[in-house]
Amino acid sequence: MGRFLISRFLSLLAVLAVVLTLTFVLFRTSPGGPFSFERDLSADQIHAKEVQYKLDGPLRWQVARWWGDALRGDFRESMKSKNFTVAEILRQSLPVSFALGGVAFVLAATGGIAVGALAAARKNGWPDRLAMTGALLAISLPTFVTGPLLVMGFALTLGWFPVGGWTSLKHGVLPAVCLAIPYGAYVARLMRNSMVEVLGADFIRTARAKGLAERQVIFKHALKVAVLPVVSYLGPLAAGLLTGSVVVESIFGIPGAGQHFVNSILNKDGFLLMGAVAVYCVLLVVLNFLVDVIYCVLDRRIKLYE
Amino acid sequence: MSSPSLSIAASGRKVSDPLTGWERLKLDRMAMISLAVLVLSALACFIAPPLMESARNMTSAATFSPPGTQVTAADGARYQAWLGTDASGRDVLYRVLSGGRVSLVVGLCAAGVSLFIGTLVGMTAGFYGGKVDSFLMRLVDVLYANPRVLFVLILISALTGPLSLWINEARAAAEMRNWMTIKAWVDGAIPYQRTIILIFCLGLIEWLTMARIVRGQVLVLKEQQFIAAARVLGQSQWKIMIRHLLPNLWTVILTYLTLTVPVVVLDESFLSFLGLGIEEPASSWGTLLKEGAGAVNPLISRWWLLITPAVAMGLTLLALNFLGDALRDAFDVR
Repeated sequence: MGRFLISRFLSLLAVLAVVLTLTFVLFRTSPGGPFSFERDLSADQIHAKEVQYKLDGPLRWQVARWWGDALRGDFRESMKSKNFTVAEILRQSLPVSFALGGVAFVLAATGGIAVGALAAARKNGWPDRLAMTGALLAISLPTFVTGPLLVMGFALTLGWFPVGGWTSLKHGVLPAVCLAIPYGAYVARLMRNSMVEVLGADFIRTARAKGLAERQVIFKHALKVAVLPVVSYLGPLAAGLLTGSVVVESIFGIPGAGQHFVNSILNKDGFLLMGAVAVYCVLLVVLNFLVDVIYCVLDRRIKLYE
Repeated sequence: MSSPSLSIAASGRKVSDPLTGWERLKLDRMAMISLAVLVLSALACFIAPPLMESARNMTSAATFSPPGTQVTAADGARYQAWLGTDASGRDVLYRVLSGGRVSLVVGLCAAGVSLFIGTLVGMTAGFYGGKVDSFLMRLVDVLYANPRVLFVLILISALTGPLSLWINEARAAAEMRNWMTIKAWVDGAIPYQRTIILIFCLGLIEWLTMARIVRGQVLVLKEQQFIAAARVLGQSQWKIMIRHLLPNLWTVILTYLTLTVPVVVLDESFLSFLGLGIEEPASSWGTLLKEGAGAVNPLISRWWLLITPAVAMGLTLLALNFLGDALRDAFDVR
């Protein structure tokens, strides 16, 4: 197991390196460079800017210098928000996204697993059909539809929650639910299908033949195995949720990190983009690795590379 | 409707013969309802707007009128706005239907592009195996790890400039050589630049799942005897791929085409939300939903602007997803 985990970790690190390098190359080679918003710079002025931002010289040298800085923890200065370093911008917005995404993650994971397991236990009955139609509908609607619908229902009509903003605990409820809905629906579908498969397996028949109560069969025997595909999806799920969503942030007026992904590209703010992508990728790598560890612990059948 | 067992008996087969994928699909009631919904929705989007009064697409003084209002358009024609009007006094029903046309075309074309790339990559990887396989699959892994939003944004900003440049050059070249038909074609493409870019960019990011699935299927097929027989008979690799593998892949491809369309339509709506999708005066479900989302505020709630496109898009995508799931079950695609 140790060797498997080490090799997984190394390959994840390789993915991290490739993704970040690729992003840097794309941002440097895509037309309309970071200085094209400033009017009519002469070649000399552009060169001076490039030197100032350490973007002069051949591309591989630029990449290498960025990596050198990044590995020392310096993500440089934002190219558009002057006087702010990328680290400062992310330090302000990431805690907000982490809090919101963390709640959404718990909601999506627990809700999805519960709904999926119940639907599978009542396979083809009305709870199953209702839950799966609901889940499919939740996947078919973008968050900027569910968001305003939630606002219309729970904030404007019922008045239970505030419309937007980020000042109290109550402000977080609607955005967290909105963020969790599509992911929860995906988890529920994944869980249902895996649970249906497991409930048809031989060891479940054995458990039933022993005369175990249905509840024990489902919760003690089936759930443990059926949850595995969901566990392997939890890594990307958490990485996606924790880095925030530009849509939810703009609908509910939340100062999170999701906006930086989009705005940094639209503003050609390359260093902010690299910082945001670095955060996302590091999260993805760490979480995927955690998932691998959990997987090994949960599923004793896996004895990979041994 | 005749019962399935009768129609099977009528076809001269034994009842004990296993059902084919299509027969299993026909027995799936949800799939058939979804298919009906899809056909209706496509018909409504493509046929209804030209048949409706042209006044519905005109601006009028009756801005934000609720459903059921009598509206007088700019040219004096009157019509009943069953589903209300938008910020410029245009009929919401008309805009939702014509927006659906754009969304469906973008969805289908981009899914087609992704299908082409995905099948090509998946088949190559699965068929050649070895280093080619591991290289292509590592590529897919890396692209999976990239945030998709970011990738599509970079692609769009990278392609927008070159495409308009290329169109201008094509126009100039056609004018110089007096190729009027081609010039008219290129001129016709100018307002659709954004749409073309969207189709390619979305196609370029959504092929990963398709590639993985096709590769898996090819790995299974490759070991079967008819492929070995084709090899022994000395058929070229190219011919084996086109004549023997592709026909056996098409249920997989159809299934994932059906499942990719809703993903692409959602992506398009997301880009429209960011202001990078379809541009005014053309509209798609995404741009309409964006307008609708903006119309929900504490002071005055113009719910019809959000509900109408949301219902249209929700129903269509729900039907596509249902049909895709049913196809997957019927043909047992994994």
